[in-house]
Order: sequence, then C-alpha cells, then structure tokens
Amino acid sequence: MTVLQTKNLTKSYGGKVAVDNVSLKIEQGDIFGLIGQNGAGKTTFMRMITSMSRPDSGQIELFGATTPAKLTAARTRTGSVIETPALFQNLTAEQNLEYYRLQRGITEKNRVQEVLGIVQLTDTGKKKFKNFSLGMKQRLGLAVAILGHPDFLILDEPTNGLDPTGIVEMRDLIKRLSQEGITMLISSHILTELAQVANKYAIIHHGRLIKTLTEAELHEECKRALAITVDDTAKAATVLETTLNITNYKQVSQNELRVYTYLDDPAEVSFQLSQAGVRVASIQVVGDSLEDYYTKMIGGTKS
Amino acid sequence: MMWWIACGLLAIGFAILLIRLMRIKNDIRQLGEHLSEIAYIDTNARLVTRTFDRSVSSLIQSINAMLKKNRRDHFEAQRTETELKRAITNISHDLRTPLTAARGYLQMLEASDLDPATRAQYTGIIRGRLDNLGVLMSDLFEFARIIEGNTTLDIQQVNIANTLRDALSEAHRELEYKGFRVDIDIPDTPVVCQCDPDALRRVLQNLLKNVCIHGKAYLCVRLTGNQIEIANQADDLDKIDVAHMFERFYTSDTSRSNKNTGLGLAIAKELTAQMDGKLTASKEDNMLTMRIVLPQKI
Repeated sequence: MTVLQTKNLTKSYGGKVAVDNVSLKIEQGDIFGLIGQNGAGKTTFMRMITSMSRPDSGQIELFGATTPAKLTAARTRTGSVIETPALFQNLTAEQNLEYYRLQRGITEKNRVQEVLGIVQLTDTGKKKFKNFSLGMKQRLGLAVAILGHPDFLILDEPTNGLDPTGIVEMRDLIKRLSQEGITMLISSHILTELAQVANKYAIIHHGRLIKTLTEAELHEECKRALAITVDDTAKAATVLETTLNITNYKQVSQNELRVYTYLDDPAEVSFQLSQAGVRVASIQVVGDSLEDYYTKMIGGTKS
Repeated sequence: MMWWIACGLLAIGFAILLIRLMRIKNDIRQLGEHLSEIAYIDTNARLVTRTFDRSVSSLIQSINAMLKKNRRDHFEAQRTETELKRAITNISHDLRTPLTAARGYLQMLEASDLDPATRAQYTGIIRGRLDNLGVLMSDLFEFARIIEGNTTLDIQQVNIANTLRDALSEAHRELEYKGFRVDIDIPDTPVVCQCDPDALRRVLQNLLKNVCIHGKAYLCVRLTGNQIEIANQADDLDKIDVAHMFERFYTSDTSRSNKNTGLGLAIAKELTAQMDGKLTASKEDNMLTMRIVLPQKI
C-alpha cells in the first residue's frame, strides 16, 4: 500500500525554487531517508506534506487521499516533528504530554507514561521543557508525535545535534517504531547517519530529486567491485575460477558478474576472459564509500 | 411566583441534561463512524473521545484494547511474510552464482577433450557447487519452517550445562582440526533453564559452526547463571558488522565458495527468540562474543 506519493511537487520562496518537481513514493512499512545538504529543500518538502505550507504546483496523495477535505482527514493519521518542537516551556515532559492527551481526546491515561517510556524520558521528573537538552527536546517532540498512534511519521533531522550515543539511541527508537507498523519519512544531511536505519533513500539537491535507491542498491553501489558484463556468464565463471583463481564473485544479473578482488588489475581479468573466448562488453571498478558516493551524487549535477 | 422559579430551574436543568445527552450522542455517533472507517484499513489508529464522559471512555478503552490485540496479531503475521520474502530475494544471487559456475564447468567437460585428471577435478568442483546449493536450499526450508512457526517447541526444564557440553564435544574434532585453543568454563552443578533441548542444541551447533568457519586461534565458552557466552578471535574483526550479524544471509565476505550461507545465525536467533530467550552479538577486547540468555523458572 502506498502511504505517500507526490507528483511534481514544487514550491518557491521569493523567486528561489526550494522544491523543484519532486515526485516520490513511500510504501507502507518503509523507513524512507531523505538525504540532502542544509537548504536542499528537505524541510520545505516535509512542511508541504504536513500542510504547514502550500505547494505552488504538483500533487500530494496521502493514504490514497488527494482532495483537500480527504487530505485533512488523512493527515490525522500522520505525526511529525519538524524543526524545533513547539511545546510549553514551563511544563514538564509529563504535563506537556497530558495536555496533548486531553486535547486529542485520548481516554487511556497510561498512554502518557507509555510514550515517555518509548522515548526514554520517564526519569525527567519535575524538569521543565525549557531546561531540557536538545536531545531530550527532540525526544519529547517525538513523544507528542506518536501519542495518537500515527501510521506515518515525518521526522526532520531527528539526529541533528545529538551526540554519538544519542544518535544510536535515536536509530534504535526509529527501528522499534517501524516494527510497530509506523511508516517513516526521515531527513538528514548526513547519509551515513541514516545508512543503518532506512530501507529506501532519496537524495535531494537544490530542490531536485537526483536519485532514489533501495538499501540493497545502496549497499551494492558502495561495495567496491569489478563489474563485468559478458555474453556467457557460465563460461566467464569458470575462467575466473580456474585461470584467475577467483572465488569471491557473484552473479548479479543475467549478464553481469561482480568480482570483489583484482580491483587493481581489471586489464588482466579482461585479457584472460577474452583469451578464453568470452566476449567482455564492459569491465569497470564500481563502488565508493558512502560519503564518496554521496558527494559524487550531489557533485555530479549542475547547480 | 415560587412555581415559576421552580419551573424555570427545572427547564434549565432539563436543557443542561439535553445538551449533555446530545453531546454524548454525538460522541458515540462519531465513534461509530470512526470505527467503521478503521475496521477496513491497515492502521494503527485508536478511538478518541470528545466528551471524556466516563461511560464513553470506558467503552472506548475496551474497543482500543481489542484494536491493540488485533494489531499485534497482524504484525506477527506480517513479520513472517516479510522475513520470508526478504530471505528469498536475498538468496537469488546465492543460488544463481554456484549454478552458473557448475554450468560453466559442465560446458567445458562437454566441449573439450580433457585428460582424466582435469575431468575428475571439474566433476569434483561441480559436485561441490551442487552440494553448496543443497545446503542453501535445506537451510532456506528450515528457516521458512521455523519462522512460520511450523515447528512446535517442546519447552521443558533442561540442564543446559549438559547440552552445552554435548555441543562442544560434537564440535571438538573440527575445532581441533582448525587449530583452536579452547577454554571452557562450565559449572559442575546443573544449570536449569526453560527451553527445548533440541532447539538449543541446534542453536549451539550453528554458533560453533560459525566459529569454525570464521573464527581463528582461540575460543572461550563460558556458562554463568542462565547465560552462555561463546567468544572467539577472528580475522578482520573490524569488518564484522555486529548489528547485521543475524540478518538473513549476512556474510562478512562475499565469497560463496565456503559452505556458510549466513542463514545459520538467523536460524539460531529465531529459535532462541521462540524459546523466549535472547541471542546477541558484540565485539569486546578483540573477541567476537555471542551471548545466549535463556529464561529460568521463577
């Protein structure tokens, strides 16, 4: 089931295009990572989904709803933490949540303690929101967002400003929520921060979507290998094994093999294959580190 | 005069009751609408109130408890399905690669006049690949069976010290062959936990097999309380991603020439979970440590 689908979503501020024809699709159960530098349009995109801002053009489909009235209803199934959460400065974590519990008509009084437990804020006692650390504020914002059992959660830079332990905790929390059936859209300006949680990625740069890929695709992209396209994979496999003594390889598609050794000598591999009568259509080294890959992605498009 | 005041008060009281009634009626009507809406879609949504009327609230809480239970059952079913789908997607490469290689050798056998020694070598390789495929398939079937809950576990009081000793003596020959120095610390007194002895043996076998394939030099097995620790040294420890260790088909290298499919650990994890136990992996002091914690009788 599709949770969110946008078609050519566009928004500009003062003549500057913030989000440029973004079309993407989020399926139920996804943890969808929206990756881009600061100012790439991530927040603007999220604000349009949650109706905090109106798109100039394009379409939003949320839980199958497209008309304004139905979209409003569909948005009640969505929770979000965008920018700094707006909560009562002088109330404690529990009081803030109790306020939202009553406001939303949630009858279960224990729900407040439940969500405090989920975001690990049970021991904040009488500490007021204004005295919270950034990480605690983020988590309380998240607590408010999940209070009403949403189906879709939108989190803008949830790992921003957190220390390494905080980041790990946030990742675990995101995974746990995902296991409880919450589909998620999460933004970050650091690919590696989301690399261990998301199952789909979209890279956004200067408002434009440059690439969407699944976790497995990202993993394969970032694994250094020789990608060899040949006419006869069976024959090629025997040449790799007998002549070159390579066992560390994989067949990834009908005509493509990936070899994880011999990275420094593709010429030799190519030569031996040709010698044995295998036609090599292409041979190249693929795979970068996550960060290199990301830099290449956003550097490769004209700004 | 008194009569009028009395009548007036009565009228006001009546009006207040009427408004209250209308609000509660409204609340219930909207509840009904909301419920019929969420009944047919896949949602986490729960019912909410507008009045906080005590009776309405208690009705809502009962319905919400039911929704919660439904949801949990639904996730359990879904988890099984997605895990299996994932396993099958991931296995496709692993099935294809040995198959392609076997086909390649077969082509060479058919095409050329080979000397008997080379022929024997190629047939040997083909047999090896087919054996690989066999292991892969039976692992996949076993994983499917376990995850679908088709195996019924026979949970009983088990002296896990004995099970652990049995598993170790079974693995002894292979460990020795691979040149492991082994430290064993198992108390002589019985350690009784709640588990299925066969399933626990399978878990231990899989973990020890993993040690034989990927570990080197030193193995330390320790039983303290209801916790079994299997720690070993390994090459390229920094390359091992503990977080993904138990995922289907995780292997630290991509070599498919050895017999490890990566499913052994996933099976171990799932079996342990079904016994209400916990299997975790961590890296400590240059050692890879697997830790099993099993429930004890309270």
